[in-house]
Amino acid sequence: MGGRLVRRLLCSYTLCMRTREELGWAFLFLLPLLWTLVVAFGYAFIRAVYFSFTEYDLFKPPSWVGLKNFNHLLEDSRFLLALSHTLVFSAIVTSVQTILALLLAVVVNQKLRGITLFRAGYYVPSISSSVVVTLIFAWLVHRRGVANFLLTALQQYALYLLVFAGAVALLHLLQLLWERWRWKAPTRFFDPLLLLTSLLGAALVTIGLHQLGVLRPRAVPPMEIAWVSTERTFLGVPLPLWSIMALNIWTTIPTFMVIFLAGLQDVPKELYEAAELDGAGSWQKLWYVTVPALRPVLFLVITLGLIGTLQMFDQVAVLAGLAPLDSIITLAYYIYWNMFGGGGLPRVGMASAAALFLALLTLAVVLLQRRFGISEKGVL
Amino acid sequence: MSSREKPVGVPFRSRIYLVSAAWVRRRRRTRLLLIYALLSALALVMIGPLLYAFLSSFREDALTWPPEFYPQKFRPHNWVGAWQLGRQGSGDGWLGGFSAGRTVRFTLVFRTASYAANNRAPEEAPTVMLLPPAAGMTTDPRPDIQASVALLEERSSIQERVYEVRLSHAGRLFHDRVRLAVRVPAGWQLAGATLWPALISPRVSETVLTWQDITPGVLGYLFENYLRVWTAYRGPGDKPLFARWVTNSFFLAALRVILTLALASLAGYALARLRFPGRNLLFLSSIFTMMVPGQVTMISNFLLLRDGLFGISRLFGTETLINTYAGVFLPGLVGISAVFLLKQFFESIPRELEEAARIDGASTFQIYARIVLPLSLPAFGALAILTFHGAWNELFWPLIVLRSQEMFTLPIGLMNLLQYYGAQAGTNWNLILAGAVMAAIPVLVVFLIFQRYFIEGIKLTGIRG
Repeated sequence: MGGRLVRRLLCSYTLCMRTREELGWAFLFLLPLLWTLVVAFGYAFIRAVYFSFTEYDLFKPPSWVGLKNFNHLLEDSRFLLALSHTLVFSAIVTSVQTILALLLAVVVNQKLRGITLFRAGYYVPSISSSVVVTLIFAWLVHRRGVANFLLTALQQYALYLLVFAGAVALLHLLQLLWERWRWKAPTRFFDPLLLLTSLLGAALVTIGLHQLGVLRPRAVPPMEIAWVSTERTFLGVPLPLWSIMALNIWTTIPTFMVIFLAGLQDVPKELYEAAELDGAGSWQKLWYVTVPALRPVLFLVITLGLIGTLQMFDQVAVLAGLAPLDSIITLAYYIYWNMFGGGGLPRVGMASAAALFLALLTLAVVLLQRRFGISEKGVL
Repeated sequence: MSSREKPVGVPFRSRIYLVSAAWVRRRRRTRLLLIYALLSALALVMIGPLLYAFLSSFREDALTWPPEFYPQKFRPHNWVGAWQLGRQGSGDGWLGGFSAGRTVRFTLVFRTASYAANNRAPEEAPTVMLLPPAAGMTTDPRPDIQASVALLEERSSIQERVYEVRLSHAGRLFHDRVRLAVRVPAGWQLAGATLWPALISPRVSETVLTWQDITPGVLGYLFENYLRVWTAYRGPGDKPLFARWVTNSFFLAALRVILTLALASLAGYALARLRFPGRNLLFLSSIFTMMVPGQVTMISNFLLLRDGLFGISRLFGTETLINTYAGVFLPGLVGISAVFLLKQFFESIPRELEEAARIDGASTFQIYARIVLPLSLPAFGALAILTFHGAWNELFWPLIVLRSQEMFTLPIGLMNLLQYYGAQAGTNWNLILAGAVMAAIPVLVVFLIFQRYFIEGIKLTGIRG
């Protein structure tokens, strides 16, 4: 009796009405989300686990086979190939794109006239759809494409580049000696004025040597590698996969550049000023100020990069028509291939088992990030 | 001037050096110059390939070695020629065509320098041949068109000959496209033409010049690849497929935007403001879903659609939801990241506004519709753009659900195009590129207009995972 009275007193009429009303609305508002979570996700997840223990070809009802699929998976050379491709792909792409995106973000994080135009321009590879970019890329690296032409030119003019680089270094050192010891000027190593004169001087030297006939382009046969449709390998990794790596790095850098840029704009300027007073150069500022200050963002970018590359599918799907399957297959595509592309009946059990494996990999990455990463600003 | 300026202290190796202001200024300016050079070089790497692809999408052959930066397609005298021939053929200088009763004349200038060396009969002249309207066809070489060649002028001093080709339409049908080949003795060089041929193929005994359309009109000439992709790639029922894919993509993306704005905002509002049991559980499980790859749920969801959602679809008269647009939407009805984005935004709206309305007796839905929604328009705008972008580019799920060509969205259609043209000898990359450019344009336009929202969205969804 007494308890009910107290509750009555605490819970004024309007408040109780309000919670009841709210409950109804909340349920209504959340109904579509619940549908997605419960049916399209929860039920689907449980079914995927169930299918991974069965043999199922979409026509006959599934039959329980225990751990057989997982055993098969570990014996399937194509799965192991897909797994190794995925791991190599993930490691290389994530590390390269993280470093390059950070450098790019540092470069565009300046207050210059027209810098937003450059930022927008750099961002274009990320907004185009993966299919569009993959098609364009496949055309670039075609056997008679621009990439091969440029590589041929690079071979032809390799000596020119060497001479140019050597001349830049030599001229720069000479100028530095002159400025620092002759004039006792406070000239930094990468003094812009000196750098410009070295570059121009080296260009003149190279052109002059060409005119004199000392330097001649080398005669090399045109490069004719069909980058996306060959079985050749480099360092044990198929060339088509290397191509997809290059493609993926190119299209992901801008996204991460934007995330880094957001982080960079939060780094207090005082840190840089202090470092400058201590005599830090550009690289030292990058390494001792920027990178530590960006640690949370760095972890986020690495995690996003790992997850994205582990689940990479689109590029492989587009190129699957051109490339030999074993040269480009990744985990995500292996799952799809088992379901829809196998030539023969779908192997739902194998696909499910491989999908669980992929989920496990992703989960491991997230857990590692939570263990070592610094969770800030609502980072997952 | 500079001598009157005060010297400036410059820190270097834990000492302060006094230098003239001009010394510092010169260095600052050069630094700026170098930075802009670096930025431009980076721009070349990042968007150079895309720009080059865009330019190549206009060309007759997108795989030339060495790469051509000023192909015949971009030379204004050919545009003039295309206009003139279009005018002659049908009176339409833009899109061209060949109407009945009309006559088309164009000139060709050949350099016959190696002609004497070849020791041929001097009366040997070019011959004109009409080709069937499409590359693979064998019938209909336009029988109602008569072609003739006449020598207009012989400039013996420079060994040049000027010919006029004359085509007259004696039939009654309108031809939107007239393909033509002119064969000349081997060794003759084309030195000038009203309209440069699409293809010059030198052979042992003769050289063949080919025009894909001799009365193209300016637009027909410049956008030849685009028009071909748009109209010539046909599916069952002889309907052009590309236009259909563009419509499908627009329709699906628009529907996706509307659905997301409506449903994700409701869910986001509930998660941000309403109290109900299991709120945290719902929140955590939503986060969990974002970590699980789409391939895991794909299998079950595909079966779900195949069986028509436990047979519910039979009530609406369809046995299965595979190859339907409902199937594209139903499993991922609400984007989880969209829900989070809006939840975060709603939490930033001051609660007092809603409390005040509550005291005035407004219901939860009224508060949502009258107070929260109007305040959230900027967030809705950003989300709409992000969602459009995502839906327009999405490949994985539509690829699984949509099966027949006329149901495809653009990304799947492009893959289809690649399979079709890529299987043929490598000369059709121009068409594939034209298709890719057309698929990229809507998103690029949206990006150019709403650039800021894109960047904000990346930050939000990026930070949110």
